[in-house]
Amino acid sequence: MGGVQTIFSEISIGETESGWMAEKKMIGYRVQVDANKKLIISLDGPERGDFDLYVKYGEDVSRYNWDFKMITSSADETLTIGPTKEGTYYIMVYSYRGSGDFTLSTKVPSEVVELSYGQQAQGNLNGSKEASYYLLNAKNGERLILDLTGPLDADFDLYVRRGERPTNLKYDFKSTSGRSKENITIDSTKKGDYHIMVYSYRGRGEFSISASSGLKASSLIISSKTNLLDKYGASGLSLIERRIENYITASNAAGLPATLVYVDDAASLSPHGLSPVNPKKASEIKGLVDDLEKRLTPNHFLILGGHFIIPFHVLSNPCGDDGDLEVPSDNPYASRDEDVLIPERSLGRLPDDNSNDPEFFAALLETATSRIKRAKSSSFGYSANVWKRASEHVYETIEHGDDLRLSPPMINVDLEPDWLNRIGYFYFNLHGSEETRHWYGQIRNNYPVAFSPEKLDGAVVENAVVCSEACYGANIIEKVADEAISLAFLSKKVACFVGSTKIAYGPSVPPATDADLIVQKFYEHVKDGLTFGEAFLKAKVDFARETIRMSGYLDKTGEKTLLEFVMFADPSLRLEEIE
Amino acid sequence: MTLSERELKKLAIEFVKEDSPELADELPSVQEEERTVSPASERKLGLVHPRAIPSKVTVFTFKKTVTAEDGAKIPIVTRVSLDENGNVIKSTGN
Repeated sequence: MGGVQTIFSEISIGETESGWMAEKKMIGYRVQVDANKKLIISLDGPERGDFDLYVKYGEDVSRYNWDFKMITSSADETLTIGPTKEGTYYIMVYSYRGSGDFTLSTKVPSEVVELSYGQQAQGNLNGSKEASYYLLNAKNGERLILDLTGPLDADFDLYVRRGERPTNLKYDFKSTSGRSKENITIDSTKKGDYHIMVYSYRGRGEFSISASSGLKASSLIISSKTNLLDKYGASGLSLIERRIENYITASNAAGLPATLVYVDDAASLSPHGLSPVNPKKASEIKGLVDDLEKRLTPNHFLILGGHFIIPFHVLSNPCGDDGDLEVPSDNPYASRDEDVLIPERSLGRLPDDNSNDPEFFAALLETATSRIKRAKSSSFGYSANVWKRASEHVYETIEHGDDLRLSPPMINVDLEPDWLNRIGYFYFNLHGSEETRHWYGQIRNNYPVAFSPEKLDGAVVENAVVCSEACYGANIIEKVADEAISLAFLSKKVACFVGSTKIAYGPSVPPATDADLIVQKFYEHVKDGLTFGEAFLKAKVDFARETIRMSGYLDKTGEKTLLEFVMFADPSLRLEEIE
Repeated sequence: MTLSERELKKLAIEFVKEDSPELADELPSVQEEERTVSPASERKLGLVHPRAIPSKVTVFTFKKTVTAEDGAKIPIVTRVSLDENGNVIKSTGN
């Protein structure tokens, strides 16, 4: 990324700085903090603006390189960081929308340091019989591992008590080995505050304490062994498992530890203290994914298989009178609760096709294994003529090279295969139908065939990002590659396909709403360098915020759009543009 | 002035004649929507000061099935949302 280097002004603890910012600008600060504190950074921006906070420890922060961020739709943001590391925290105030005056303040309240899963805190005890205290808020049924490492020539102990601060006489758990290396494992926590005491029985010096579930994973892979076996037989499953193993090896080598969990396999689940669920029931799988997240805290969730392997959630259609009774959706898997409209997880799916030959699926896994996704910034846009103005508005986000093509006059037979080769970004806004494998153009009452799966037969579209607003554009249930353009693109090794499982909506003229808006936001975030999973998650959140901002609420077509758009991609991958 | 459903429907039909003439002969179905944001969505979206417009929106759905050049049947839908005063606040289609 190029651009002007940000200058970071010094701000002290307890100080308030003020400034003024134009839209899409950033101002940097840096604050010096001691180890083991709670740092609170507060931003107070203009009433109608949307200002955001980004923070990074030890080096310059940007919108793409941060450790902490707070990006609500308001201009007032508060970030709490703790326990802190000793050193400099770099703060960036970014004016996402609007301009105006703002103030930024920092404070470090003197209270017990909060510890959370995955965190390590540094501390110092200055003599025998001194203690430092920490607090961890646990949920029900979590595994908690506390590790303390102190000086070699001292004897530090670890005490834990639920609900109250422990002493060396009153505690629920203790580790007093006679050295300074202590460990407490609580197999199943109860909901509430766990108070932790690091106590010097003898000696002084620095220590570190960490809390974890003991099982670290950055990527969680979800599939069903029973369903894979039923569909592909033992030899097919064996092939698929070899490809999954290769995928995991590549992911681990890339620094992204991946864990495979078969939702219906006790051997796969018992290390996590969980039991198999019915792989045909999406609600049971969601419950399991919720539990797995608590234990593994993955950054990305990858579903392996189509509807037969890991079923979509089949939800009621919010627009009940448009002809679709139900909406297949992955949103519930991406949500932490029962309110499934707004996703919270970076999640994607690599689907298989409807055949019993595992080759399509195995090839898809192999494509994901080669983790580097480089493609040109060139674009190909194709729209029904009636949506010309709205489509041009979306296409601007990725346009590089050819103008948006319109159907009619363009029709399927006129489309030159060369036009599709070595394209980085594809955009389609055409008609689709549940009963046909083609996408269609439109002008008045004329609906020509605009695009068919065969158009991809000789095309070189590897690593491309494809978004389609066609109705049923991502409908893959009981389909193979020559029956669904989405699967045809995946078979040609595109990096990502985003589309709708049912009737999708959009305006005929800007501003972008519904499918146009979600696709536009997705392209923006992919262009910003986010992973596909993060880009898709953020696109949906932005979509909901923007829809509410425009009309005061999330209308039924907005709800349907959020549910029906799915992403077929490895959510941990990102596109690298090349020239 | 709050308009009746019949008056709103008339306005929606006039709008569709201009905006989506291929649906001009269709009679719409009607849905009422409340202009509110659920607390769960507010929380997840971090909407500290969500816009509160406690009003109703009437949505008219026009749909039909057309035949494409290759004989395939394609669903065509347009949804027009009007506020209580007859303003078209959204039009969206497939």
